[in-house]
Amino acid sequence: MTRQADSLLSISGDLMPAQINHFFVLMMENRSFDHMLGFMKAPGYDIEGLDPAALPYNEDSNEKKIYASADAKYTGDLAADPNHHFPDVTQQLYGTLQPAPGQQPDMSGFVLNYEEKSGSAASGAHIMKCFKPDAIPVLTTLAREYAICDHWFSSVPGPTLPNRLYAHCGTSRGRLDMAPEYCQGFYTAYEELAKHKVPSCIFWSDWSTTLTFSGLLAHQNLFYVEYDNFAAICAGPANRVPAYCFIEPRYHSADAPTGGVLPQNDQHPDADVRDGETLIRNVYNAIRQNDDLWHSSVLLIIYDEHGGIFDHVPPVSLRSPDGLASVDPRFDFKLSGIRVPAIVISPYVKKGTISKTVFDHTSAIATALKLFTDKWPTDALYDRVAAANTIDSLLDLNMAPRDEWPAFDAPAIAPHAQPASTQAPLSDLQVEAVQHARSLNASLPPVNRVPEPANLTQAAQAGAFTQAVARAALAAHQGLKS
Amino acid sequence: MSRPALLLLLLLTTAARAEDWTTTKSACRSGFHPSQPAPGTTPAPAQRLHNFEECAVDLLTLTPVGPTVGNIGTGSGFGGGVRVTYSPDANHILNLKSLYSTNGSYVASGQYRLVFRPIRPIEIGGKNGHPGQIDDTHANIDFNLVRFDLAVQDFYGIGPNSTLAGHAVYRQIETSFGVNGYMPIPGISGRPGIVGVLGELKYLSPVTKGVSGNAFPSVNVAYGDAGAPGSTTQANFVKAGAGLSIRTPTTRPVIWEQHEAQIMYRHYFDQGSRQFSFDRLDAWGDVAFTIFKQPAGNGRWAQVDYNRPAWKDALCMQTPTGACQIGTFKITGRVDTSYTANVSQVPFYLQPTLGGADFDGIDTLRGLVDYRLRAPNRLLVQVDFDKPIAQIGVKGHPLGQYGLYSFFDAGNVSLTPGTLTSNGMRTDAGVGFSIAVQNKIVMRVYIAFGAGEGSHPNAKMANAF
Repeated sequence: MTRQADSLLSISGDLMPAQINHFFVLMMENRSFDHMLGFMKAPGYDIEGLDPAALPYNEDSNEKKIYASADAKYTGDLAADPNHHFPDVTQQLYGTLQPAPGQQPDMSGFVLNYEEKSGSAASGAHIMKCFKPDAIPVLTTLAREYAICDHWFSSVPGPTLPNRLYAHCGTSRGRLDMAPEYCQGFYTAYEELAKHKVPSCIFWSDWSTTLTFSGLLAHQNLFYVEYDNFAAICAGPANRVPAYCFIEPRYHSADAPTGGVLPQNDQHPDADVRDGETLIRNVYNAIRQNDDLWHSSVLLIIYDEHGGIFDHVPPVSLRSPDGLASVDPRFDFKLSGIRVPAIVISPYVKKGTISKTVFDHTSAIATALKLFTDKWPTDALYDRVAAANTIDSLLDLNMAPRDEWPAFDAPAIAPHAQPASTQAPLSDLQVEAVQHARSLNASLPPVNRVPEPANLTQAAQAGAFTQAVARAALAAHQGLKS
Repeated sequence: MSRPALLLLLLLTTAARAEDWTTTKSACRSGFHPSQPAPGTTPAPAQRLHNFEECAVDLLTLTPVGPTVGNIGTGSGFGGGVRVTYSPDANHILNLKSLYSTNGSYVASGQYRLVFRPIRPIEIGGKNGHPGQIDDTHANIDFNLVRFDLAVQDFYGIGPNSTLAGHAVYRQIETSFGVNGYMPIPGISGRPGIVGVLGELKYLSPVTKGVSGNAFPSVNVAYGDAGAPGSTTQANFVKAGAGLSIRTPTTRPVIWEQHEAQIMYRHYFDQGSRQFSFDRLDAWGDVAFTIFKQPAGNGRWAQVDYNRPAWKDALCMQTPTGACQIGTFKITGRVDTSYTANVSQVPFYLQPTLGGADFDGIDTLRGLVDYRLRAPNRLLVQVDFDKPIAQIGVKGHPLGQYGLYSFFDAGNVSLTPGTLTSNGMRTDAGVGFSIAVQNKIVMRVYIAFGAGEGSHPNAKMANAF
């Protein structure tokens, strides 16, 4: 019996249920479920993945069948950032930009859409490439060791911003776009938790989409910590780790202060996926290192959206959070986005768990509210959160905590000479982050504004700018009582 | 404001992204002919502004060729020019840029960068032999080609005894090309720090000239080679250097301490008479300590107070972990020493400076004007203390959160390394307000005094780029 389990014995000798005191969410970028985990499907491991005997396909512009294949490269396949705005996702779902009324999505338009973006049929086929499980051993090992959710859908069939808004606020208020100016007044899960005196925190590296939420900035000292401190905080007393922790990856490569490069590790195409593997491993190990923390924690690893990359499972119907609809393009927010990888890690998850439950990003904040507040269900974060399935259903708090250490295979951390250049041209997401930062910067008083360089064409420049704006905004907004 | 003027303004003030011409045209067309936004969504002016921004951004990031704008250097004005970005794959990125500024300065540069992973992962030890964190610093190799012409630079004489009355100016032109790189060393890196090797090989062709029409005399006229070595005749150099750096791992082992340090040894080899050959040893380091007051827990997590009064935060700023932060001390040290043969001299334009900020934009003796002291050898010690003290704002629009900021600088320059001691150091002190988050100053407004040349009010932004 483990030390922790021993300490949970009641007077009668029965095992007391464990208590989850900490819930961590690591949200990566722009990869679909099939792309990352689909080929884990195997006899005895019956996930909704890719069956090598019956692989799905899309047709290209020459009507050639392009099958899903297990030959994705860590970087280089998706040099042109796949489209994933609402009209593009519509084409990916239906094979056409203008589906007929009542038409069901058949996931047939990914290749055509990427062919247009990348400029050739040959490169368009890359959108069907998926990873072999042993190519990304950190993610796949954690999936096998703990719980894989094969019906976790992004919240919106659209890009990063509305999907991340659902993860923080439970709604995007009828918006589908990436314009930075519309997301300032959102009410967040962090504020709702704070009302219940539950500490929560966003660990950020170089940017967070939450940085325009005035309610968070009004108390930034309560809600933001730089990710550099994550491992140190996790290594400290467990009761000083905030209850709900949202972790942001590094969205841009950056120059290290005394030489070298800190790579983009969000796994957004075409960043090297292995750098994201390192991040996932580091987050897991930081929590796992501290037994007290590990024995009271759940870690959820999810991706914000599919990033335009193929998945074979159609979206599902979900509840509109607030009844707001987009007029142009028309969308009622009653359809999920495309499936994304999701893994639930906890010492109270049985090895090899496969969850078929439908989740979306609102499930994360719903779980936090359910675990840590005495008011659940609640409509404080709108209807979809109130109705969301929560991941505590995957936990068995009566079982002895699992203390084994999964062995990560070497390839993810072995030497290899792929770059994560600070000077690569910006991806669409990085461009949006810059625009977002610019919008935030412009909202600051002149004395607080970060001088904006005129030429932001490279990842390091963009990262430095967004980080500088973030710091300036956090400082400027600290203590604002709006 | 007219549409072309607005577009030009946005061109000059927005950031950039790589885009193709089709997308650019689409964005710009949307800016001039916006569609009606959905009810309840972005109002038309904001959406239109966004479209204009898109248009400007797209224009500024056209690949492979596009326009560019930016600052050229301190006192050298704001310029515009052309940029080329070529990236056949993620391994090979070429950037070319040229800017010409309003005061006649210009810079043209090219860089080709390769980034690699370390030879093997750098483990930041875990408990009980378990795996811990991996530091993700990557190695890089940069190939550089730069040509700049800075129209006016300041000079006050060489050595610790120069005076403000000796103010002169010069024009600095330089062509250089070479390679530099960084490689972290996993074998000797760990929790105490990431150790890396730095290397540099560069060819320099500097030229200095007089400045006509300036209120101050030119250096070559006022000082000549006797008072400013290299002011009348310049040499070409091969610069070769190697060094070590150490810094706190990316994932910090503790939250209250952070450090970084670097030492570089460079040889400047005069390609002509060798009159200006010299060696230089540069070393700098800093360490920052944050003082926390630890919290009380409630059994599940530390107590946090969402409605904590501002005056309590002024005394001790609450953090998400329930602790509160009293302030941060930072101690910085810097030594630059130059070594020459008996007949050699260090050209004045390659000598380190004290006063304001130096050529690299680093704060030095803040109680003096920029470039005030110059000599082949420099010693500088700085102590900074930042204390977050106030959170103020107005409804809907934050006014800012300021901390009390104070500093002490002590520095000296000398003609020879042997005379570079703490004796006779110039000192200054200053106070002001800072905007800082988690030990990092974003902006500061301060007044410095005590250096014997009056007080110097100043406002500086952090060097974000």
